[in-house]
Amino acid sequence: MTCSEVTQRIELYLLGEMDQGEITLVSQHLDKCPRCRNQAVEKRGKALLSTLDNYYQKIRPTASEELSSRILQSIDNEARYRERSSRSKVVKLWLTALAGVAAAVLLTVGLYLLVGQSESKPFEVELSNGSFIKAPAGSVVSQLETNKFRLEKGKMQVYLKSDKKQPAVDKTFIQTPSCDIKILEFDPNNSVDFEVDLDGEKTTIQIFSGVLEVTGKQGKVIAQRNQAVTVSSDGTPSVYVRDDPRLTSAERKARIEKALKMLEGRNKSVLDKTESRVVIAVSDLIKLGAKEHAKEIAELLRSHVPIWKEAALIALAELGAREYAKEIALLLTDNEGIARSAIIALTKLGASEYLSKIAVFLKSNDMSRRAQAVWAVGIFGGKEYIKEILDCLQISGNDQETKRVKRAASLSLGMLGAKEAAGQIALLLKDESAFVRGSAVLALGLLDAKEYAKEIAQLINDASSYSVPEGLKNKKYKSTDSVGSVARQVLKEMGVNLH
Amino acid sequence: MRGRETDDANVEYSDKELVRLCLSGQKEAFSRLVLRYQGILYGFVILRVKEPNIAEDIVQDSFLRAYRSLDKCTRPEGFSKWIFTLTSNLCKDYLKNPRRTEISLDRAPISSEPVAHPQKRKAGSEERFARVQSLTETLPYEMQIVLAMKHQEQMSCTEIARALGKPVGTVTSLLSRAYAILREKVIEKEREDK
Repeated sequence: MTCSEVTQRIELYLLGEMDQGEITLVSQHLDKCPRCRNQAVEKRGKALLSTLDNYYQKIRPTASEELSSRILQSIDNEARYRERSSRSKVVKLWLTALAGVAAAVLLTVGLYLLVGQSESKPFEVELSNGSFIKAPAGSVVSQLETNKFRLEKGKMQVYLKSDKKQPAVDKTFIQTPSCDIKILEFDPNNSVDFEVDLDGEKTTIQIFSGVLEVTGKQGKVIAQRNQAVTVSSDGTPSVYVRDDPRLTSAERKARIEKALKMLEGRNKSVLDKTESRVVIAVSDLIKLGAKEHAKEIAELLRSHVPIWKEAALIALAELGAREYAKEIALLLTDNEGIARSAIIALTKLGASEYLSKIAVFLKSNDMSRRAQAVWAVGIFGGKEYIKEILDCLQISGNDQETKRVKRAASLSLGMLGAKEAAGQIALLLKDESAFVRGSAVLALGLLDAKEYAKEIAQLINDASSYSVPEGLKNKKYKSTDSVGSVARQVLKEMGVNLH
Repeated sequence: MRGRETDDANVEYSDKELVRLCLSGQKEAFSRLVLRYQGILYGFVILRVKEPNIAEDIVQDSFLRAYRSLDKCTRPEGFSKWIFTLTSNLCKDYLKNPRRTEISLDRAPISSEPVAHPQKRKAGSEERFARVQSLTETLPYEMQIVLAMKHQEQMSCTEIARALGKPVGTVTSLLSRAYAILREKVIEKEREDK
């Protein structure tokens, strides 16, 4: 091999990306050629590789886990929306939510058994609060009694939203030939979301939120969001990581252990990489739905590394570890970014007892924390802060953060039913930013402000992208992709005829 | 936050297989494509739009559009190039008219600001960063993708080959050509500077 050939391939050699024969040839050359050893290896190869490594590390997303869950969520919404709109005949049973009755009862059914054993029609029941139970055509679903359904064949999707905090359903909710499914807990955002799929040999239950207990002939398991359960034909249930059905319980355990080891060893090493490895370990724990290790994650809240704190906040919120709300609330006084994440986490966990502490930020000069706080107040139903939120609509400034505050303010006022704000919100319909316009439309919809129907109608052809924020309680307007489509849906809900 | 440690399993299917699986109704397959490309696309976008929030929105929008029009991806084996083109167009749209694409997908207030971004890197390395950026940007997408998979996602050439559905030899040769171009321009320039 000549010096120039070695130079040409030096990076691949250093990366070990060559076959053995070539590696030997290059090594032999380097052994006898000090010039190449010095020039090619040190000066060029290593320098270029480290430059590239540094460069690419700088441009990677810092909150990658969060970004992927956002993307996946939007794809998921899109997929569900498609599935939903592709169905032709929909059998509608009206259910009504029984909010305040015995905690054991979640739903009560107005009409019984219109559906029976029909295979040709899709099955769909919807509640006024956005909850639904659906099965595509070809599935066989029957209702055995109030809050008890049987899936004989095919698939079904269950999305339940509760008006009560953490209601429990203490009996079987869905029965299949191989197992019984019971809802043990709702997520902190008061939802349970799962899909059951019978494919002949096994039953698969994918859990998107909430905690379920699945009982087969050979035993029972408890699984939660981000996990999936399969029940084999002999009735043995096992828990997997959702989206990765190849990961068995044992493998999951091994990965959790690996992640925990990384967390434990975090202070022992001074390597640069430790910082990001800990973050990777935490994201892995989120992915694996390892709520049982919330304690280890929560220790990071007390660490001195800001990104660890932030990672822990996200993880505790994602895992629904409500029991750490108190500790999370202590970080509200930490620096900007962390305080902001703390508000987000408390909102996600539904920790409304900290409403007054969060509300302090309604007057913050830092717009990003202010926007988060405004949103939290809306989610928590803090009507006593309507005045402060109204003030937020008045702030001037044209930057992204200010707009975020205004957007959050209009939606919060909508959620809080602050009718008196409708006039001010309507002014935002002409805002240059699509997300402010879309939110204003949505807010007016939530307020049922029919008096502004005309102004809203002017936006029905507005094609700027807009989608309804995650976490907005009302699922009515869920599947939208532009300001115009939100406007059309809002007008429809208001009963306004577009023609 | 993502690296090979968490994602070994992710490279089991090629893009082509994942696109096909997805078209056959297995939407989970698409999430593997998301995990495979989101970091790389983010890197591609952040260099153009500079603003992390906007970059995330654009990446999210790209995937959503890709998902919607996946049946129009006539060459599933060229998924990476296809989504790069799609993303590049979204970036151009944004830069042409920031208002319209401003929030392609409404950022729910439930999300947090990334903790660091290129603007915050240490002064001094600025120049080198800019140089590498301007050089990588001129490379064909194929090379950009392979470089990002190697250095950002830390994938091995075998993994990259499996993902792209190409022979390993093609991947190493793409890399080697990319290195040759960069080596001359980055390293030589730095030596001159010294």
